[in-house]
Amino acid sequence: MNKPKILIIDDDTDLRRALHIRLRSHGYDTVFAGDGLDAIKTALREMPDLILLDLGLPAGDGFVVMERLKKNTLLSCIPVIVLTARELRGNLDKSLAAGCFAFFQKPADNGDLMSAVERALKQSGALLQ
Amino acid sequence: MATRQNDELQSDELRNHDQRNEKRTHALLVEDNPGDAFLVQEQLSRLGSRFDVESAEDLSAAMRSVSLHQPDVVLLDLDLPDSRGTDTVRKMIHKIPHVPVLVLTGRNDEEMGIRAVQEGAQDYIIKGSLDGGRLIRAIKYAIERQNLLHALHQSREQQLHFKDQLLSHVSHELRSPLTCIHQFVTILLDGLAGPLATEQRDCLDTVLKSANQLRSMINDLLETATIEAGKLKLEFRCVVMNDLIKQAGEMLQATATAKGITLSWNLTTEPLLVHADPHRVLQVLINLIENALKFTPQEGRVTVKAEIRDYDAGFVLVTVKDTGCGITDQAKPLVFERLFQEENATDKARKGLGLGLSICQDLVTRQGGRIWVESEVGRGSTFFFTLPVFSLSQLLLPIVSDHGAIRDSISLITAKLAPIPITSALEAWANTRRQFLDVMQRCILPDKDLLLPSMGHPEMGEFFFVVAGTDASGAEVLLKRIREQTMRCSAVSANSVLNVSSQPVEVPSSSGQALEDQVGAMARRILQATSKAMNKGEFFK
Repeated sequence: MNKPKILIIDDDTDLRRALHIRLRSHGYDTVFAGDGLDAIKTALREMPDLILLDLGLPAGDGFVVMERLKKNTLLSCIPVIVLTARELRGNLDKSLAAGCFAFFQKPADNGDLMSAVERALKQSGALLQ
Repeated sequence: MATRQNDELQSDELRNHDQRNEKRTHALLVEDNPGDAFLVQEQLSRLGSRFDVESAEDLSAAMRSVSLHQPDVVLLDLDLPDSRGTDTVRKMIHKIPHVPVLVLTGRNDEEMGIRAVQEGAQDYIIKGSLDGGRLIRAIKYAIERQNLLHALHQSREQQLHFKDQLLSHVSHELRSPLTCIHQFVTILLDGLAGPLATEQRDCLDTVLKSANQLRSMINDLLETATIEAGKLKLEFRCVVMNDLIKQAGEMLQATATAKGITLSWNLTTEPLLVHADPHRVLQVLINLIENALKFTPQEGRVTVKAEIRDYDAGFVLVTVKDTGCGITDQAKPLVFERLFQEENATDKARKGLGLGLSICQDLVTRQGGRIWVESEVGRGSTFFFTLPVFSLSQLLLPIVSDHGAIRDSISLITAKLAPIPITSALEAWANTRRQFLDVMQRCILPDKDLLLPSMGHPEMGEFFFVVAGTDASGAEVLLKRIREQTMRCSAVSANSVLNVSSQPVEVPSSSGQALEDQVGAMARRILQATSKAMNKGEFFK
């Protein structure tokens, strides 16, 4: 089985690098996108197994991205984990309604985040149960 | 005479000013005496100033008029056929709070005028001494003052809104770089960027500790803003205080051990039930214990205890006792104040924002409890807080009693909501629970059935109990309704597994027992049944 591929959508390049190192150590491949438009293009090109999504993004925020993912039959099944600095109030309910797999507020606990990543990948079949 | 000329002069100025501005002032004159009304109208029109005067002879006519068209100013006689004295002012101001009101009083009634001003009137005018210039000036000033007040009020609202926005924006912006620090430090600590020497690890541990502290400060900041904006929502449930203390204690055990402090909790074997929001109670406990640890030196002790005292049986009392530096008498009344900081923290440079205890106080008070501190310098401090005991009998009384006697048949309906698959999203789970509670609330008959506050734990599932004032067949109907309705609730059907069942509750024989005693017996039976359902995690047949 190939390494699961995770698309990190965040406009903070430093944080992208940190997440890359962390995910790599767990045996995952990573690809990046920095804004809402690039997110969909990259997703279509790379067909990732999981998306880590920031909510505050240029060119279409996280909710717009989730909506576009849901509308695209090729992308609608990819699990999304929201990782945001925004407040829980309002954003959590909205994210769950948009169908995200899990929601984390930055800075998230690495253990919790990685276990959510693993569960999401197992559920979608990208990792063996 | 000189004053008089002066008045005329000023009214000329006002008139000129008026003509330049071309705007007409719409005045409502409320006066039941035709003579007085005529006099005022004449004064206003004689000077050619730009007034449109509308008249009303009593308060109800005036009220009708202002509903149709809001005037720029109201000239109000206080003694009207349908309202007298300051009552008249109060009613008028209540109806149109943003319109200036000038009160017309009799010559011997200056005191009444002053009282009217205290009630919110802008000014009073003594009817006999009316002269045009003075009247117009009084009206103009009243309008200007009212405009100023209005502008002041608006700018205050804007400032508050801005403060809210600023806090939420700043804490968001602070979180982003903090996330980066947190991520890279943990990468280094976890050895993902190569092995670390012991000293390097020590340094990074300190960085991580500070980053975590910064995070909790940001959370405190947001929390305070939320409480202040009145946006804090509490979800009251039936909570086992013993469990929460254990949970908080276990969470902070590592911190205590690292500081060489013995942290222990002393709990009753009988579970102490409180009516509170478990998340918020846990927050208070963590805050108080963390605080105790902060001010206690090595080898010290922090002890947490919960009990119900005989002389205050309606409340559970929780104490967090430390052997720390204590609080001076001068500082004692200040510790719950916002931004208060103790100068002599043993853990130097480990100060918080000084919001923790004030948040605790807010949270405890909002849940119907009290919080206070006793302390002796050098020997330690004890923080106390109380929360209302969850009393099933009290809740049951209106449900199970029917015209002074206990209903013939009572059923207990149990619904278990299995936990949703996403962990570390407790809020999502809270959302599901809330929606489920809503559905249940709609399914039951409010005057016959009682939905108990939900019980349980995120990891083990949530239990909901309905005490239904009905027999087995009625309970079946209710069960069916709950099943059907919850299936339609997307959050529940998508995120959880639901299991519902019912069982009859034995009704105590009424012979010679007071109703309260019977209800008490009933409550005990129901509590036994609920705890049995929760402990065994299985359902009655």
